[in-house]
Amino acid sequence: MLDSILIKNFKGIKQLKIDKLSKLTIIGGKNNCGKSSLMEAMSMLFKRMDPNIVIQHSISRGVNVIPTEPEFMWAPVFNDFDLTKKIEINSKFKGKTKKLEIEVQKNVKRNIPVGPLPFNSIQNTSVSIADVLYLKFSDEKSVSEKSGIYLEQNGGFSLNVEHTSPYKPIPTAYFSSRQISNQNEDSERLGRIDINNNVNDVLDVMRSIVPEISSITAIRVSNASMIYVDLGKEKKFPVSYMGDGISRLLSIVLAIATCRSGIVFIDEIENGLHYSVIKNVWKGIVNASNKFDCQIVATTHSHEFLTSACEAMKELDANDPDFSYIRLVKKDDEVFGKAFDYTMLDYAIESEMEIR
Amino acid sequence: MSTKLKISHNKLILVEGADAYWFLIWALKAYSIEDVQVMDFGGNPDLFMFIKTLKNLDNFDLVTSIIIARDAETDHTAAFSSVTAALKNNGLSVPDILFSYKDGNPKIAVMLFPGYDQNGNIENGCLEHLCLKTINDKTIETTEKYLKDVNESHEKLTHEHKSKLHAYLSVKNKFVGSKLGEAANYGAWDWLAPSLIPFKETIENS
Repeated sequence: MLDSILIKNFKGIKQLKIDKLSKLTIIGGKNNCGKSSLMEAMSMLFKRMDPNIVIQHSISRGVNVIPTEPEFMWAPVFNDFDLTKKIEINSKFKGKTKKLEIEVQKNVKRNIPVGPLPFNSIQNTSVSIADVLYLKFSDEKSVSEKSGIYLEQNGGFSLNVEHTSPYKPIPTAYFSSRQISNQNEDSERLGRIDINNNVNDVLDVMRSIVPEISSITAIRVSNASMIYVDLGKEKKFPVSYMGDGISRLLSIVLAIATCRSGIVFIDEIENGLHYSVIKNVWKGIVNASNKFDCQIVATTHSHEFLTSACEAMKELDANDPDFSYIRLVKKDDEVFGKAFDYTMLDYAIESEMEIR
Repeated sequence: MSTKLKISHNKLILVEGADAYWFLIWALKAYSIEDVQVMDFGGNPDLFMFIKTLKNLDNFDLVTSIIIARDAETDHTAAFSSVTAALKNNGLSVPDILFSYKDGNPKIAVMLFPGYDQNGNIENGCLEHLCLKTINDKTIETTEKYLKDVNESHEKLTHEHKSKLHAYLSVKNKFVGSKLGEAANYGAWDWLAPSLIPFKETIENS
């Protein structure tokens, strides 16, 4: 479990320290206070070996055209778009200190294969000079990874690993606020859940919202995988046509079920969900999180969601739940995390305090 | 527009219950004090949690003074200790005596109703006692006679101060049917009464 985090110079965050993250953590705060930046920083910590991580975050923020110069490609990752500021993401995971440092290294030379030449030559590479997003990951004792994300000439990204120690990746999933369900990814996850005979756990959560669902299946049609549900009608029904909220919830539950002992990050968890189902959705997420020992970190703007989360906790009879609400506040360019445990959040809601 | 509780001023008075809340609202109006915000912290056992949560709201860092106001009840020493424990456990300054500020960020004062007696000693009691002390109206004597008769002949009154206050309000056409806080709005209490001076001065010094 991610216990705490200290972020410096990452996107909208000059500095942010959160002393305690819970098994279920909800992040709130006004627009532009750093919620998405926090989620992306945490996601980057675990997905640092994915060369597409930067572009994925940009796309999930709705950026669909990015010039390939470093000041456009890498600068948005840095606070104030300042490439000279080194990013630090310090964390405690299961009690152990981990640190990710990110900076741009300019004019890095690299040999690139150029393919077979039409004449005999010993030269079959060319030298490329590029500005590289350089990542250094270390634990309490030493640097365990050094790698660089390169922008390739074809517009793709590659990861050049200079040094790494054997490690077991922590399973994580990240849902951006704009994300539409990825049917292929969901189908693959459902398949893996099915292998472990855990589909009923997914069904239980989905039935709390749509009681008619009796089964759930991944079906491959014309090179595309889609998830269908049995609603007791003549034919099965594609989940993607049941509305964004249901589809997104299924994606989240599938991710939780495949991130055992890992973390699922959900930006704007309430998106697409009607207020009347939010309590059951949260109950389902809590149950799935417990069942699969998966930490959940979710952002919200919704007072209804916070209220429903508290009500759900009460109804689940969770005694002293490992649950917290962190309200981000931006002041004078710094971001602060105001932490509410379950009792405080419940009290603040009952007292009608403005805590969004 | 959201009606949720927000910190809108940098001087706060935290009071126990709705009657005290409205009493303070109208007191501030009577004293032409506009830069102080009154908040109802609910019941006395809630004070610790109210302050703990309040500290996490926007603009708490801009708050320069807080007054806690509640009833002394049957033991003013215990009431004061209860408030100071809530302050201390929230890492705030703890005043040594009532109606006096302890420096800090924010500075803090505690006021207990009904305040001081004629000899300058802190009294046990509640806001109703304080309000009764401000009444300068012969009608109160008739009310006292009536209650004495009730007490002796009909019903042993367990909350004499409340009975007295509401009996008084019920025989005044202007205040009939009003609660303590509403009556404050209609001018039931003499805001210049000597018993209110320590409260007024503490608020003015915030």
